[in-house]
Amino acid sequence: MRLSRDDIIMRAFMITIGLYLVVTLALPLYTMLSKSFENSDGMFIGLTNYIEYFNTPALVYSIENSLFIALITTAITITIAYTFAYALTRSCMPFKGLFKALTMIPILVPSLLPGIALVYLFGNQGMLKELMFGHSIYGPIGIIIAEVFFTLPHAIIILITALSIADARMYEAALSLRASRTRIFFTVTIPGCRYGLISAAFVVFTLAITDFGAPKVIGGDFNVLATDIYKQVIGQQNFEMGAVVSMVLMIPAVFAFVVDRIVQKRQAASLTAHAVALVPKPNKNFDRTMLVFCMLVSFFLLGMLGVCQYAALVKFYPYDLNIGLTNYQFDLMDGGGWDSYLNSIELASWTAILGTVLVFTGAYMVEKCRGFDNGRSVFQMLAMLPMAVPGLVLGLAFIFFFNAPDNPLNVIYHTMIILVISTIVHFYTVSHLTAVTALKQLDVEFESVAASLKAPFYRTFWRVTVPICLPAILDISIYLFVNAMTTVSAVIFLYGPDTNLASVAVLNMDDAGDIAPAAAMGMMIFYTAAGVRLAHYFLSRMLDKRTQSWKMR
Amino acid sequence: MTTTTSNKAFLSIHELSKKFGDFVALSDISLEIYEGEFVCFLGPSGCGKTTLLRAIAGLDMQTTGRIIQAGQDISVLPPSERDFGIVFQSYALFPNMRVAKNIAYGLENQTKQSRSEINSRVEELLALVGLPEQGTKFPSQLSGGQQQRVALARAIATSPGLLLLDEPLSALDAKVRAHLRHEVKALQQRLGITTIMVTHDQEEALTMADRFVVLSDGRVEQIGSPEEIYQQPQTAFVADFVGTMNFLPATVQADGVEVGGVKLDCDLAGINTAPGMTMAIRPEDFNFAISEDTDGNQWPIEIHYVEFLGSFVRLGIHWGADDSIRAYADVSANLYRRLGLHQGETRTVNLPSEHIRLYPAGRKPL
Repeated sequence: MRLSRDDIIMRAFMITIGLYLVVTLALPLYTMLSKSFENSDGMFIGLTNYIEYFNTPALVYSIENSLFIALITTAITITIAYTFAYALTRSCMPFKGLFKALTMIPILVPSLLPGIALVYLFGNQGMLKELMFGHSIYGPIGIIIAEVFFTLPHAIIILITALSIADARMYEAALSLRASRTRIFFTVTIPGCRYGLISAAFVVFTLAITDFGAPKVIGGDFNVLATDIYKQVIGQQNFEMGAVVSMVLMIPAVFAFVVDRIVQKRQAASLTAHAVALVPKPNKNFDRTMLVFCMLVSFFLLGMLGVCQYAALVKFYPYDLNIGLTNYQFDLMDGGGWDSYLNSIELASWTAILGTVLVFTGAYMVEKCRGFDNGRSVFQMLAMLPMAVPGLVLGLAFIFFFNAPDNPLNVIYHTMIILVISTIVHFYTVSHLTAVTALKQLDVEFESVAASLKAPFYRTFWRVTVPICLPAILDISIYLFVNAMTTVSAVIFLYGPDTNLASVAVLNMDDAGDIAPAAAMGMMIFYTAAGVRLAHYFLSRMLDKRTQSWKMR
Repeated sequence: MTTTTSNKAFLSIHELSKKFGDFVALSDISLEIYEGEFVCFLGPSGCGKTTLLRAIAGLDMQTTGRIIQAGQDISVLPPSERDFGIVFQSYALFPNMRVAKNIAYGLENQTKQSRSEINSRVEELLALVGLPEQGTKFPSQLSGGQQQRVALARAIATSPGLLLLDEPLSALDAKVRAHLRHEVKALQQRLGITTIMVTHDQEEALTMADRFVVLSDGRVEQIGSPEEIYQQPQTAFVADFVGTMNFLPATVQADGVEVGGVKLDCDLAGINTAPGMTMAIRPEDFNFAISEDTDGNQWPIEIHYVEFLGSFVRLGIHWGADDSIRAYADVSANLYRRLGLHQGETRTVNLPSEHIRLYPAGRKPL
């Protein structure tokens, strides 16, 4: 086959973006893997580090602890999220939209924040300390509550989707065969969303086992894998052992990722275009029960946020309960001051702009490029890989790769550039999948028609693909922006004196005992993320109105 | 009916094959299409007709073989360097552009045209496809049939040498489809543009095409005019796929065949005879109006059931020991009334020997 000019340009774009993923993902990970087989002088020592790791009881306990936290969190989160999603999709209770919006709160804050709220509620001087009945919040109890808060929205989003695709005719068939409500629930409802349940469970498990924020703030002496990496690297400067723990932490993450991919494929195959949408029927008792449940969950989410806000405003808890803005004087604290907040805005903006361009262009090339099947599957794999790499592991891998003296790229270490690069790659997969989903909804023949009309691909890309995919493009940019604002894990190893970030400032101020300012900074992140989300909502609405005239169906 | 057809091959395909892994989608296809001709690729789903069309367009490259268009070897050219317009089943209209912009899309890629030239060309095309004044609408504001015409106008806007239609009418409902068949055909004849249409709908093919290419399992079964394909199907597959056909087990005898104990005269010249064969008869070839000077085979049959199908009546007829031979016979509603045929009665039927076709036994028809 002779290549057209378009083919060559498209492949060049794809290879360039693929190389970006190789340099910012594959190579750092490889470097980290090889570091785990070296001593501090860079000599190859085989499995010695691993043997040492497994012979250090303090470190090996963390595996058990991490699994324990992740499993309990998964069980609790899935139960709550399923009931919540069920209420939103299958009941006739009021305020569904409001409840759905409230569940998104945890996405807008760093995972450190629920920990801080728990300290104020149940800590040594907590407002509701008595409710702990002598137990300490610092440890597994605190971590699990914080992780449930942090993982809830992710599970709810997946389960709402899973529960919305029900086929009403299945329920009508079951009813006509006189099945009881319980029997219908177990024979129709649960099997109908089983892929969603599995997928949600693995997403929650991965988030909980790889999260670093909650155990850092509320974990006390209870060590988990994520905090071990941090301690090995930041505390003991033992980079090689950090690499070993990272490899251990990759195992559950990669496993969960693989299972999720398999399940996603099955789910896609089980969807049919001919399903009749299920419309819930009013049922007074059921609707009321669901409403009460959703109010309780929302109260939990809002309560945690409210406590943080209270903590941020109270002058000196618990001794001076006057309200004021003293805790917002970040420049008086260690942790980076207001500059760190501005740095976060800068990071989030660059990540959103550059990341969206990069991700969408990459997804377009890989979806629409003619031939070149091998190149495309390599690209697809590279684009999926970030999902399986926990943020802390990515950050550490970046240190190994970009801070190496013989790497010419080491000039970007500690700069804004490396923060942007790492954040884009950290959140690449979900953005890529969003773009691919949107592109797959376009008529596959647009490019064929355009080629027959002798239009170069970039004209069709610019005049047809981008306008139609604008909602998805906005979604991607907002996703990147919000995550860049809230993330701690990858950037914790990469920021420099001039590039401190708000989320890192929360961590460092909390570490230094300045919990109230930490809460205040956390709330700054929340306002910003929520503001941007709101702006996105209105922008999408406007866009929707403007494009309504040509919307298909 | 082939006024615009000349005898110069405009498109020739030489020994074209296409494999997807181990699966052979097209095997050794050779055919020629003449200038101004309307050709239909007809076949059941999975027969390779769309694959062949996409190979001609350069959208899916063939594994081996050559394609010559207007004297130029285009076998390895990318689609953007070939000369064709295409209409897909989904139309693939750009939803965010108004109708006029959609039609102008290809024209705008030709640098020499000015804005006013493009506009007047778009007006002309809109009028040509019967949609004047609709240029400012978005595709989603049009009906399916109208969208289909816009797609057609966009495809012919740049006056390509070859028009490719990939199941263009399949997404429409029956009435609109029947109407558009004639419109598309009339437009094609008016423009004299060489056209290839892919369809699985034999009725569509019969009403529109100058010639058929019948495909099955990636091979060409037969190429010919609609009459040839219908009346002289060369293989049992073609006989079965186009129209309705009775397939009856026959034993070859001297200058004829025996079917269910009835000896039928037919011409065995040029047929590779075997003792057991399959005889194919169109239902409408059974003749019930018998007079003294009716020639050919005549034998008694029993009318087992009667199915009223509007303009004609389909009879289930039986003959032979234990009614072993069962066939359909079609009679016009008019004749049916005139002859007073009834369920359960025995009648004599006539079958002119030239309507009997014989195929090797064994291959199970569809």
